[in-house]
Amino acid sequence: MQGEDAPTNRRTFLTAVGGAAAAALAGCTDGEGTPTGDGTSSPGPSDTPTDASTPAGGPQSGGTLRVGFESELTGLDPHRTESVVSWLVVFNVCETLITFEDGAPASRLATDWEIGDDGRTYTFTLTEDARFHAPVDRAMTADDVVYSFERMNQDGAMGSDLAAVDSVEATGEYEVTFTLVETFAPFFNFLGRVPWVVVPEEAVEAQGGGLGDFQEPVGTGPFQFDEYEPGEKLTLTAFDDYRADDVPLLDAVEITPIPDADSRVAALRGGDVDLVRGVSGSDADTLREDPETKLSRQRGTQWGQLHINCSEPPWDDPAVRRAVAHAMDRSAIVEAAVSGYGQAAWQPYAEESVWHSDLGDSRRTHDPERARQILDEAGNPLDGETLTIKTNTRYGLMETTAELLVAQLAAAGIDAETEVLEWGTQLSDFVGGNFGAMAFSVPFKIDPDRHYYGFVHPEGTQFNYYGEDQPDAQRMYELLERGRSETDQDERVEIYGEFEQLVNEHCPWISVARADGLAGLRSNVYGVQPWLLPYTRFWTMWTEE
Amino acid sequence: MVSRLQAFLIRRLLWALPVLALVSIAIFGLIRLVPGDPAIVMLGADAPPAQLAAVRAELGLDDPLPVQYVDYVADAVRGDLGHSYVDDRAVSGAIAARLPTTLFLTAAGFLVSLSIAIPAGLLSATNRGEWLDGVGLGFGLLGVSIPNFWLGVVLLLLFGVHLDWLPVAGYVSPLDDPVAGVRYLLLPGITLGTAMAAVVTRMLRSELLEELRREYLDAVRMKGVGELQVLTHATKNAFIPVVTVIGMQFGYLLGGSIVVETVFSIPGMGRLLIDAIQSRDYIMLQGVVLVYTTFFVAVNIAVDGAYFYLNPKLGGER
Amino acid sequence: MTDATDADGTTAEPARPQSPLARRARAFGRRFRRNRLAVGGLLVTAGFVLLAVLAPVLAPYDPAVVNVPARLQGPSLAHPFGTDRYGRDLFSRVLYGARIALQVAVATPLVAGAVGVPIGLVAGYVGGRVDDVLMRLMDSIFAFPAILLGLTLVAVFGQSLTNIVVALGIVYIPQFARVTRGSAVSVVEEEHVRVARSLGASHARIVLVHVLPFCLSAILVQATVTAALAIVLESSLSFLGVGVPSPTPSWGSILRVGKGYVDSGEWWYSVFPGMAIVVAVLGFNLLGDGLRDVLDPRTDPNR
Repeated sequence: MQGEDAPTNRRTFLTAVGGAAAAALAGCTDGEGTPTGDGTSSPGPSDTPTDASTPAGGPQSGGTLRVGFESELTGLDPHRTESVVSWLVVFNVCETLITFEDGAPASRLATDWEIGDDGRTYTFTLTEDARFHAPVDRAMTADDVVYSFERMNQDGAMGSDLAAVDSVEATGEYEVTFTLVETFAPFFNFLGRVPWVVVPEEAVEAQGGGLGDFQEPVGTGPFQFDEYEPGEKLTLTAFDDYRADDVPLLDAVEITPIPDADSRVAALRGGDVDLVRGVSGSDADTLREDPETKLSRQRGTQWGQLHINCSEPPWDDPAVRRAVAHAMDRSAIVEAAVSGYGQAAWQPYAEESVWHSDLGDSRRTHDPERARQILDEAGNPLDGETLTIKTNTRYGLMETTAELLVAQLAAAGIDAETEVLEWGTQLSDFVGGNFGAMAFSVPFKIDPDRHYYGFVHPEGTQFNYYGEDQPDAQRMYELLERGRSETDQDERVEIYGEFEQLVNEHCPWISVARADGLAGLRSNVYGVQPWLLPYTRFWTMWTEE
Repeated sequence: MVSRLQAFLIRRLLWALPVLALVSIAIFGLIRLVPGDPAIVMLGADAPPAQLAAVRAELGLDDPLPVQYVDYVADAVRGDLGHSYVDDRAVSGAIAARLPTTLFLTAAGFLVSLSIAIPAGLLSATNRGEWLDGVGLGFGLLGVSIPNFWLGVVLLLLFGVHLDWLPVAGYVSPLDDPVAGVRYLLLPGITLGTAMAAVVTRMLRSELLEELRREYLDAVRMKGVGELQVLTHATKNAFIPVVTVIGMQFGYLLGGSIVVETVFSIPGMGRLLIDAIQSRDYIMLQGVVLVYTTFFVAVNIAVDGAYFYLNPKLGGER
Repeated sequence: MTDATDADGTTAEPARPQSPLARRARAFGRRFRRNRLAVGGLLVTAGFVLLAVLAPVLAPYDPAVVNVPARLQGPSLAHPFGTDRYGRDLFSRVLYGARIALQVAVATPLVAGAVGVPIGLVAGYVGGRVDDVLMRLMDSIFAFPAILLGLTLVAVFGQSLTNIVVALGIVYIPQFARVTRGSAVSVVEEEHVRVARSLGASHARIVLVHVLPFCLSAILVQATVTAALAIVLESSLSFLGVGVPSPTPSWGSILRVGKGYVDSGEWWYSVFPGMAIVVAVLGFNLLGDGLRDVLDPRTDPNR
């Protein structure tokens, strides 16, 4: 049944839950210059259009798209894998309840939804036309949704993301109601993320039933899983009974992992693959110049930052952090790290996003003099100290951030050095808090709560170790708690706005840049639509022979 | 009654087993000392601790080391080298898929090397002191002074990028498409084979010179046999130590292939090795190193056997 | 025109202070000067050492100073080798890279020799079972492709210049052991050693005073060979990403980054650092070949 209280209609609901996050973040054609920290525009890469061109003939059906991914797939069970690359595959095979169009929530398996007045009940009306692939071959119902969520949250596997969910119930054959323990604003946005897909119980059981066994996913999506030879090729074929007409256009998609960046680009240019992800900034220009290839650019898929352990001296002194924030020359890092395919950032969300708060002149811009001044006023806490910044060589953005930052700190009179670790070691250090500062980057997160809560709040994983002794700590915890429970979007925008002001003031971390996700295509590939989330949607693409 | 050759081979095999065991234990133990948790690499930093613990238990990471080792060996003997930490594929399968590629590359290097070294060595020795010899010597010296990865990059720049005659990266199996296969293997083969060619040239030259000076050849000449036959005779004898050198060089070829695969982005075992190191994929790393080790031990035994067989002084059969 | 010493430069005289040594030294010097390989090698190597040592003075820029607007520029008067991805001057970085190469070239033979020479001495002097076992052990390590061994050791030890030198040293121990043993075995049969033993000299004394000095020439040649090999191996490891960690400008690391720019036209990034490696290694190889000639021409028909 619909919420018993005064109905909150869908429109209000949409505005309430901040669905318009980063409305223009997705695939807009660029034309405007990219403002850098110093107010100058960086030319060149910002003029790169994404693939908005359509050949005169219009979409064609048929053909196989050969794709090169940037890393191996770490298992395909949608409820048990954390790798972006695996998610890409799953996202085309299984479906979530909602998706995002132009940044706003749109229907996928759920055609309509309502939220109860108390903000704790979410009722979804499901489409009746969704069918599961062979061998299941039947319509999807509310029971499947209930099953999927219960499977996903087995043993609290989903952690704090689903901790707020009290119950999931099928309140009709095509209606599902979620009841939360307390209001949890990010919940709705999370529903668009991959792990939260709907799968049929019989298929899962047929493959073993345990979390991690479902390696040949069956879903309701436009493509069905065909076969996978680990380390070699994964094949998806079009699902003929998909409920939308002319979707998908392609007959099949073949995905091969090509972990070596040079090989990927070479394979694309040589015509061995049609689409590759994970193109570096330096290769991007080559692809643009080659008449047989072109570039697709998705803005802000990675948020690079200097991650700080605020309990570890000398980083526990806010003056040190503030000084480092002023010593940093972000535009130089963007230029060197991603050849300009990105922008200097003081927060994870870009200007077009509703979550962006204008820090104005209070932003800590590149000002070595100010850095020295701050340290002087604090009594030179870094006298005789050498700061260590951990990094790795696997990810260019992190490597470059650390290297350039060390040089920039030197220019501000601060002694620093990099400690280059192997990626696995750095990850362990990150999780274990075994660091003072490290160059780090995280993928774009759809809801600000997912960025901040885990970094700062003591009940989250608190990766920044921002303890109570730190300035305004209590206030920051409070803001994060309110951000979760408040469902009115305008309120949330204000809450996180204030939060970002405090971040700017006390620097629990230091934002560096937002890097773009670059994909290379053969010139005869069309329909690539970068959108809000970093999952490639194969069903909008076609190739022209 | 076992022949002397067979006895020799058996003895060498028996020596090889402890070597393999030692190597596998050393790698197993040493790798475990390295920091870095495969569970976190697999699942990412955001993964809930319960999932991490489950993965660790699944992989047996919490068992005591000797137990882990014994389990590993028991499986390895049956051909199961475990499953990758990164993407759960079978290590033996991954290696088997890549082995032919590396072998083809190594063979290409070998071919290139001998096709350069034999004529070069012969020419050098027979024209001793003249400019041809100087060229041969110079090539020999330069060949061992140029790092193979740099040679590869330079060849890449010249023939791949600037002239655009040959592909810059990737690989096609000659079994699938001989013409394309050769195109893809040409530059890597030259890169890999050149340094070995330099060493073999030097060796062949000095051995040939040694042989040609021998008195017994003068005796043969006095019988009126032609110079060509003398040369052939000398070459055959000179080849004996050269065979040993070639065998030793196989180790170099195998090691060099790791680097060359990286330069030319060839998906062989070398890339597997490097990727495994970088992703802390212990299991894959162990498997790959074990396979490499087995290979060169096998080749070394074969070469020793050939040497034993060919060399009359050791009483081998002729 | 012939020297007072034997053609092979060694004497079988019983030990007498100074004068035969001095004579040998002078004879050595003369032969050395006449050998073009040796002289050439010495010049090149000396040049390399000089450039490495004087790098701080000679480098026009600080190799660590970044200058992002100047990144990826080709060779010019201001930057003879061009600039790298952060705008750093490549000529200066290559010069400083020579310092890394020099450290590797000097330290690796020291480490390898410190372990390998004693092993070879013991094997050659004691002989029999001990010799057999030791040499089998050395053979096992020796048979291992250097890169594979180096890779594995560094992956385990961790990346730092010290660890890499130790790892490389381990890789080359067998060469020193074999070469020392080879010399030791031939010396052990000689007159003066038997005399010393019959006179009751201790084993240690015999080895140190009678055996070791005659192994020195072979060890020296091996040292130059190892220096050359070590430079190549270290740069190979750095090229693969398992070598000296950034931002230290090892030639191999620079080449590793440079390879990524091969496709986009920045050829200077790959060409110049590689040439530096070739020159340095060539110097050591020439020197080694020349020394081999000079010290023991009888075994080398190449002259």
